[in-house]
Amino acid sequence: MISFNAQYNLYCKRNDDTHVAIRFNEAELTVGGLKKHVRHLIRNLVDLGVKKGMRVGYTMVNNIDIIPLFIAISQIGACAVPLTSILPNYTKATLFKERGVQFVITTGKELEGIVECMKRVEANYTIATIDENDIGTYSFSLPLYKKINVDDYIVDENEIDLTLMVGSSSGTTGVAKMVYMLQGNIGEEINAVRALSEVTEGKNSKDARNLVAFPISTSVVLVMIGLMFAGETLMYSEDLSPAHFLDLADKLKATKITAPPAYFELLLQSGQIPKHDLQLLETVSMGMDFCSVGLIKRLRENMKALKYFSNGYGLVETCNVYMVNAIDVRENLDKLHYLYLPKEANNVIEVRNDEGQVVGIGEVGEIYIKGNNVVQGYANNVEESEIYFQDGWFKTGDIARREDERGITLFGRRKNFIKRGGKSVSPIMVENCINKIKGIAGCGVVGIPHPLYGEMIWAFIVRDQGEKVSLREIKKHCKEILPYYMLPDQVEFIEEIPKNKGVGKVDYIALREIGKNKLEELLGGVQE
Amino acid sequence: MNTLNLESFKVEVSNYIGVEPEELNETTHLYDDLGIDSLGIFSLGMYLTNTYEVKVPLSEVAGIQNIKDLYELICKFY
Repeated sequence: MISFNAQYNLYCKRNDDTHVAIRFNEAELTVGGLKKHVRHLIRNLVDLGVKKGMRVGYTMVNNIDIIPLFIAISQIGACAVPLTSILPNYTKATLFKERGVQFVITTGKELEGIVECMKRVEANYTIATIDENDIGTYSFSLPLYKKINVDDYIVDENEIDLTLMVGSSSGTTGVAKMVYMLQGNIGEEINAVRALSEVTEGKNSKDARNLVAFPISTSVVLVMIGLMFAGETLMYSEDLSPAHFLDLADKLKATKITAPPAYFELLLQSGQIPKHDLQLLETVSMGMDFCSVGLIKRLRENMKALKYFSNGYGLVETCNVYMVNAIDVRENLDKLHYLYLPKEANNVIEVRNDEGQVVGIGEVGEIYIKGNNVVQGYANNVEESEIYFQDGWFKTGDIARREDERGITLFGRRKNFIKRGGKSVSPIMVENCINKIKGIAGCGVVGIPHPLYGEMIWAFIVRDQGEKVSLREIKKHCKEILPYYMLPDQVEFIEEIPKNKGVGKVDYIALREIGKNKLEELLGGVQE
Repeated sequence: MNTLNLESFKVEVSNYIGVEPEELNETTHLYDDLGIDSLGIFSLGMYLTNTYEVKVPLSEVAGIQNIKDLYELICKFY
């Protein structure tokens, strides 16, 4: 097992000081600059009173300090509790208190809101800002007069059992559960993300200029650091508007864009892509949600240099990425949802049926994972830990078809499956099938409770502008690909798929509500 | 009982099932020939009652076997 700190040390050894590690807007931080900045942040953390084992929360809009700050916290053996800036301040203040942080670092602009909410929740963590502030709170930007020898505070890189990050998983039950991610867990995740980089870059990760469009959250910071440690130049901005983002992609000569599927949809809908060059953009990399065949096709049509799609998959309980994949988008997209365990990370998976037996190749079941990525259990929750963590195996709640010794095709979360007349139906499979039809912009498939049969399969479909794909064409196409019990019972054409805030995932709750109301209307037609 | 045009009725059914109208005739069996299960019959019934704006008792939907049965049922309440 290798610690995150050891991974950082390896990164510093393998890369010249002149290699560009991070670009934030057009400002750049080389590896040499990163090392200096991390040491500067360590001095400030120590001066603030942070010690080994303490918990440091931080929340800030995307800026150049987010990643060096995480590294600095790790280097002194403290624990990071990052929260995305898009959460409401009251929620952040509450979560920081629940997760036992002793310090919270934010920006001068965000300070007032955090302080006010800290008082409301009656928390007493020490607050500081990474930049200037107006109210005299500790600021990392002010000169330090105390002499602090950084090396006295950096922990041994072999300390793999220190808690590095506290995260939260809603997992299979939808109820938030806290997990502690150790130095060793995250160190292994870095190996998996290196594999994610190498599947498209090969041994040339240092030439990759990766423009990232995620709000930086607990999971995202781990992926970003992993890509950076693989040698990629990580580029990002606080302004994620499509025009600015694509301007930056051209200016910084991005070879890769990493973002959730919903963000790529936003770029396509903005109409901005044809106004930009993007001649070096060969790879799109996604996570956080399923990517449809339709989206890849439209990206290929609009981004002429595009060659590859890559995908990293994981859960909070696996410290994020543990499976990866890449396909050449110029060939067929049949393996879009195939994922495999990279050899670089020490994990194993089994696909088991409901009786707990390992299934054969080609069969469907639930994924179980064991290995260095997996956390030890849920914090302060023995009951849930005993259910989901057994003999080192974690029961993921993800349903998949076993394809080979290390690979699966992912079908989705068990809790999202549709129970139709005694059979379980993957909505992802149905969506993938529909999204392959020419003229379909997107769809969302949900189960609608039915008084007699459990659930009906309801497909909400958005046609491409000007296209008139008919119900018959859709049904005919589905019959050719899906077993009879997965055919949509009802098809509804709508203008737009409702999306959640944040990363813009399909709002299945809203779709279910629409479907339920419609079913009530229709049941008025077929009376009891 | 009003009469629906059988040919246009077959077009509606073919739209829902995903076949060409010519593939359907009165004796086409919903289960054996078209592979529809009982929930599928119910869903087809919902689609047709919505299309033709009729109200049909659930108990009558359960007895349907073929296109002719379906057509006559919808006509009964049209």
